[in-house]
Amino acid sequence: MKRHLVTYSLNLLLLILPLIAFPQWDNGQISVYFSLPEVALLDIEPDGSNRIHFTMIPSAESGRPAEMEEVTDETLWINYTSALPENQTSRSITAEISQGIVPSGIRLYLEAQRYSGNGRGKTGQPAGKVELSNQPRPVITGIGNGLTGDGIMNGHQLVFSVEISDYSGISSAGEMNFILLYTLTDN
Amino acid sequence: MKVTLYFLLFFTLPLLTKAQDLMIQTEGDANFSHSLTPISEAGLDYPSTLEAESSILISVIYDNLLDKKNNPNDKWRVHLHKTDMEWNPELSLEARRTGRGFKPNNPGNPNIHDGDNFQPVTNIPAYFFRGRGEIVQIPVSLQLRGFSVTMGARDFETSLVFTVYDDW
Repeated sequence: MKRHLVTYSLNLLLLILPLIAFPQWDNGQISVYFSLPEVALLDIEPDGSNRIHFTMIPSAESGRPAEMEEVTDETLWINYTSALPENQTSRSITAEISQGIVPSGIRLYLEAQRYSGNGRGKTGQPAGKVELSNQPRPVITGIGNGLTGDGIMNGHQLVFSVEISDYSGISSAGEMNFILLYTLTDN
Repeated sequence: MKVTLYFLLFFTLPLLTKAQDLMIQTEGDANFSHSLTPISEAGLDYPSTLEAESSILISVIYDNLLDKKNNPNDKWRVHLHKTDMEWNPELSLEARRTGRGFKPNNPGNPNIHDGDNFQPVTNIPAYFFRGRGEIVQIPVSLQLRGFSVTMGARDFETSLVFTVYDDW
């Protein structure tokens, strides 16, 4: 009986073994590489028309001080795109007067506003109202991997203001031009 | 004697009944870095899609001449997935077959189907295309989406795995 059982079991195994033979397969591999580079781009909008103009007008009445025609300008925006390497956490934007000298008795200020627009990622924070000079001073800090969007109404609005600090220091009339340099710099 | 015979059959039968031996060969690699268009204006991001500059070639061939002679038109299918080394989940890789390849030492159109529209490549194997018999140098093109400056300056690498199965 036992012998018959063994025989039948072996016969059954022989019948089903072909059915459980595995399908063949093989595989091959291809490597895919992609690098994103470091990016640091900055510009002032509106493009091609980013001059601001302040005019001091004399008083019509003797004994009264001269005044600025407009004390602030809010027409300019700053845009940027930033991609940092792995070992770096943030960047800043500094501003300085690279050409020209602010006349004695007058102070020129710049204050970047909070970010707005259709950018994404880590945009920066305003550094507050800054007096412009020939030394670079941060106006926006904490910029990470991100972009502001392009054009006006994107990025940080720039508010320039001018103040007469010392009338006795204002020595002459005339037109004075300055060039401001903005730098997106690693921290 | 009988026991010995059964013993021998038990171990050799699976070998006799196994399916045809097909192999898959891959040529080329894909490097998207040289295709990346520089950002043209401050405030902008990269363009949304990149196609790899280099072409990948896939060949499905028999492992031995006996199989090739006895079953020259065996059905097979290719599945595709990726194994990430350094990747970002926002990156989306897509693949498509851009040609039919050719039959070695045999004129005529290769019998190959599907896979000619871009389809996502994920970490889970998915059906890509199928064919019959040996077909070599099937071109495959890749497309990358989802990259952005918000990912920072980084290197990414993944490995595409093409698997050929006997289509029973």
